[in-house]
Amino acid sequence: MYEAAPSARVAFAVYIALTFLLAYLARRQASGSGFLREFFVGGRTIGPWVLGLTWIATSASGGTFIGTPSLGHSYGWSVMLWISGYIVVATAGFGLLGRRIAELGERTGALTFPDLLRDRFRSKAIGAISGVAMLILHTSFIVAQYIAGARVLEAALGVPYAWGVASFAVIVGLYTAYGGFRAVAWTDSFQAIVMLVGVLLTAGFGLYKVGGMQAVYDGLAAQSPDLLTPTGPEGFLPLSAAVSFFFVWPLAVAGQPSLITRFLACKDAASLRQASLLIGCYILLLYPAVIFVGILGRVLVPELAASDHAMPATIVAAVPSALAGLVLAAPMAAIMSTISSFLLVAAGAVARDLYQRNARSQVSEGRAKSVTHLSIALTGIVAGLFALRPPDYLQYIVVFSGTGLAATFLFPTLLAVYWTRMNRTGCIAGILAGFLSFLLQYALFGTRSFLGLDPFVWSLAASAAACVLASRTGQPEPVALLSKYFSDEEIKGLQT
Amino acid sequence: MPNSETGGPDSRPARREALEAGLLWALALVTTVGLSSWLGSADAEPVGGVPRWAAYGVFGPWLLFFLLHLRFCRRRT
Repeated sequence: MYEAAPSARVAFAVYIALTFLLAYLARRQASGSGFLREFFVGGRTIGPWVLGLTWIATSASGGTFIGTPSLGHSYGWSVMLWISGYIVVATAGFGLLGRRIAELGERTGALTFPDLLRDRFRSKAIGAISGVAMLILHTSFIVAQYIAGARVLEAALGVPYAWGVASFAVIVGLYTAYGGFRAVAWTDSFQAIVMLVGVLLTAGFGLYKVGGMQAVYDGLAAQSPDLLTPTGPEGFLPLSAAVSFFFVWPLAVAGQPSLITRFLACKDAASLRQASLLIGCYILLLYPAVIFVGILGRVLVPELAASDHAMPATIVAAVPSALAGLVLAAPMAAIMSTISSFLLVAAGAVARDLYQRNARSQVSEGRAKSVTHLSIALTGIVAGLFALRPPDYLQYIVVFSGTGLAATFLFPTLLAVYWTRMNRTGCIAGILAGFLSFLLQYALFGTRSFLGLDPFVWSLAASAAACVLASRTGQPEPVALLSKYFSDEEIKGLQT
Repeated sequence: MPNSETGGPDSRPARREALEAGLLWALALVTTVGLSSWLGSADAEPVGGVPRWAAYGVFGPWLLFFLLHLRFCRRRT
């Protein structure tokens, strides 16, 4: 119905070729600081531009480019309020944990997110629990990305669905396994630029085609005045949901292990600050434009075969065919960058957190490399198989994995790195309370829990309360351990 | 990465930043959701083709908190 011209396929092929070229160049820049340090944190040499762009490319997923415009198409301007938590995503995402995690990564030598928690409490159990939870939740998120990517290829380029899934699994798996974090960060940076250019071009061409902002407003008003209200049609966004999503976006991003891992790769404090600035600018340009594409798509292409086609359909309808291939690469870039980062975190959970840190004897570099590559291949294959035959409850798993990770890990991480009194019992209690209360609320109430708020909000509260109560009832960690994480003055305050 | 002069890594500068970030988040929540709900009406005249509640309740705070974010980043060292 809205298939792009053949030139779009050529442009898309060029985009894939450039991605592989960047992965190759990144691998040549490897720092030679040991396989695991290079593979998982790029030798801790990542500067501000690459750090900022890989952070944003990882956080913007298929959901951003497929799901969000689809909501804009269905619910109009109310989606702008729904996403408005992004106003402070850069501030919260970097301000809450960025500096502290970067400092501790450098000081303790942590390579993965579970490394941080395990070493802070000298607890193998915490490392293993975190590793398993991350492996499961990240793999389910990858499934969703495969599905989103295959649907874009199907809708816009006519590629059969199964081939789309297989293409994603092979292409992204290859360059992730080949170049590790550095390749992922470099390709993410390229993809972040493609994403922004693609969305701005689509919004610009779409606006021109519809006839300006007032024409978009009038077009929506003619279809349904509810498309112009903050609550949207069918009561899409009541006040409680608007408040909930202001918790969900900034705090889910701040507590996302795949994003926290980025801070471990940071070169220095100045890079962190500059990356945060860059992300603030990028978000200001990207997110309103992504939603606006969905909103003007409602005027431009009111009837869709599936609401998830809002973005590709608007691109094909608005953008000249010579540019459509480049612009179609934008959603693909968002999806690929998220898959590669999540593959890396899932592989880290297996190779580093479950295998290497629990091995009885020293693991050789060759062995670590083989296990890492095998983990990437297996995660890709398992996720690909689920994507080929997605279960009925997939959407619940996707929503759960997106916010569930942050509900599980945000407060245990915050308190572990800032609170001297936090102990291993408190950390385990916080992880379990966040995870289980989230699961329970979804099972009992769906997406609206007590007072109409999202389960994420209550799970954060439960996790924080469990951390504090369990830590208060037990003994603090030994001073010898705390002195690696806190100054003498802070530890003295604990003892008095 | 900065360490304290007292013999270990000092978490207090980073903690202060985290508290500031948390405060900005809370202010943004109240401003954005409050203004949008207060101004929300399909009947009000749009501002440049944008519903009035979105122009003043979402884009206005977005620009304001973007400027505060720039200031926040400039102060961090």
